[in-house]
Amino acid sequence: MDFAISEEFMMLKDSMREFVKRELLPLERDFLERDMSLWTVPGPLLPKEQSERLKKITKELGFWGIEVGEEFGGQGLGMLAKTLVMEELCRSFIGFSPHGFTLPPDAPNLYYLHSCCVGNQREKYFQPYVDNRLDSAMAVTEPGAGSDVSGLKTTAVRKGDKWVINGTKTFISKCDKDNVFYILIAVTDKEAPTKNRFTAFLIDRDTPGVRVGREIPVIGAMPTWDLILEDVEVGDDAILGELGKAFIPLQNRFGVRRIELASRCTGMAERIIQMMIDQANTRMTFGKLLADRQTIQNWIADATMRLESVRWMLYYTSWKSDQGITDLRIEGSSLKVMATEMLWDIADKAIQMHGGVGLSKELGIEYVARMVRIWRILEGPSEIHRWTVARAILKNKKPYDPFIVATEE
Amino acid sequence: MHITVLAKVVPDYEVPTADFELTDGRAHSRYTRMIGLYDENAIETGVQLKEAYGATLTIISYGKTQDVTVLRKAIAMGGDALHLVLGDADDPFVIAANLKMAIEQLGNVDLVLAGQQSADMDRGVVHSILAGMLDYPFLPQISTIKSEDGRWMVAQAHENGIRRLEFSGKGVLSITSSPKNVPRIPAVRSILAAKKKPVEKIDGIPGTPMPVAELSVEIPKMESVCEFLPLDDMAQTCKILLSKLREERYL
Repeated sequence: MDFAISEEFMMLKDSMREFVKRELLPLERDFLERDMSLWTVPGPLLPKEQSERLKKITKELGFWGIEVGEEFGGQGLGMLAKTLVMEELCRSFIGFSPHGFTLPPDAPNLYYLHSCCVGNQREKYFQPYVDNRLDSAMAVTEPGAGSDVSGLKTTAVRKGDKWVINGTKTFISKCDKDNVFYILIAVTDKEAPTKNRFTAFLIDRDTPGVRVGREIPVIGAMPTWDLILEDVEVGDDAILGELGKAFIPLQNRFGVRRIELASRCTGMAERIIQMMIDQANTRMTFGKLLADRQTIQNWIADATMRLESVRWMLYYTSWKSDQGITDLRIEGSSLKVMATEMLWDIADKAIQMHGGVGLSKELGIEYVARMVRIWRILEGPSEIHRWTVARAILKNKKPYDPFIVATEE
Repeated sequence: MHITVLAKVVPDYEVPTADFELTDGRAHSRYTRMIGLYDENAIETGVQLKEAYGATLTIISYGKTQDVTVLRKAIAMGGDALHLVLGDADDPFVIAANLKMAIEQLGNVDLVLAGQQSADMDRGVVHSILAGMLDYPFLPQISTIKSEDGRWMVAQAHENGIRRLEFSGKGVLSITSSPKNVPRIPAVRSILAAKKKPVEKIDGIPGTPMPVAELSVEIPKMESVCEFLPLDDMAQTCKILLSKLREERYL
């Protein structure tokens, strides 16, 4: 096994680290202040002019679409390269939050659109999405159905040559963006088994009957809204993929997202461990440095061990994706749980170690804790992912096999 | 036009000096190694000259084989080739002699640029010794360079002002940092292209070291935080100082 990192990948990391140092860290103070007013003064966390400036710089540096194929304007460097870059980006509070700054195009939806868009959908949605002219938001969750999609009630009923969609979606992101379209999941055949019951539709923001409802304040910076659909009429050309087959490509989308989410957590965990180290080495209590107290030592040791165990699973999964292996359900679910719970615990210990300052809005650790608390539910709660892993292992009747034998090439 | 930039690989300059663990009088090998801070300003200056005048840009370094992975950044920033003279001497005369050999091997060098000082020894003497060995003029602390009618127009940055100079022919210039030579971040495509550019390793020569023996190296443990307050009005300055001490919770 070769664990060496290539020079090129190391330089990619270094370049992103320098970008973060020069462009993102100086904005953090204002960013954390803005977070405090998010729910009383609606709007983006990062001013639009800053987002546009950062997009321009990162595009010039070639950081858009690191893992995305060159045919879509990306670099085609694979998921491991993307993971390494994301870890660096997410050492800043701004890059860590998807509602701060992200590198376009958002790949999970890109793959989903690429695999399913046909005909004029490619010109209308896919290419503008690749070029960052359009943004997309998934509209799946409903007030009565989250992880258990069998409870979805939004319907698309065939009337003549149209589909008429009615229902209410909730926790839908990006509803404040004027260039967003929705990938909406609706029941098209109530009687069919779950795997054939749902269809994905491409819905323009300004389609008659589409209404953005109330904004839903939550514990972190994750602005989402209700999305209400009242007699929304679309044609067959709005169907994304096959009729009744919404969930198979959607599962692949989630797999990519989980790798990305884990890299957000490992990148930020490294930053927080650095804060813990600095605090331990400088803070005196009762005549001793925190660094000399065994409880603190244990926290730093445990944080390091947990981070590294997640990080290597993350690199392994990214590498596996780069080998063309697409069934990453066990790895993706494992990572989602390991990474979010790891960062949650580390952020909690870091707050404890910093005392009152840890609770303050100045350091940003509490911002991280709130965000990662959301991520333990978003994109599938930990319990569902544990269930997914256990179900696969029990079905195979064997322990997980991580080995991929090298082939002679 | 052929420009060379001298770049030195040094231990992580973001580690506070007092935190360095020394082994045999030098930073422990576990520290990340990187191109010296001012050397990156020199590389950026060289790349800008390359872009402005279509020059060839060669990076020259004196160090160990493993430095190549660090120096590749200079290529990714815009260098055309890397020449590494192999050696581990600290003596500035030995280093300068080795760099002179590499420059003479290139044969047609117009300008030699280097950071005004490295980020480890901070001596800032090698380039001036090199200029003497090459019999080139030496211009320290240069912040900008332009070519006009076959002459070099340069700005020398001092603590309190700028001095403009001109010269023709060859020269060794030490480069200081300025807002105009902030090192560029290597772009992804440049990083990928860097591995394909030539790297030449050259066996070092013994040179003639100075008759000086190093007895010990110590880094004193110091803690200091310094902030200058305006001194137009003493009473006002005292108020600001008190306010700051309260803000930082010292009072």
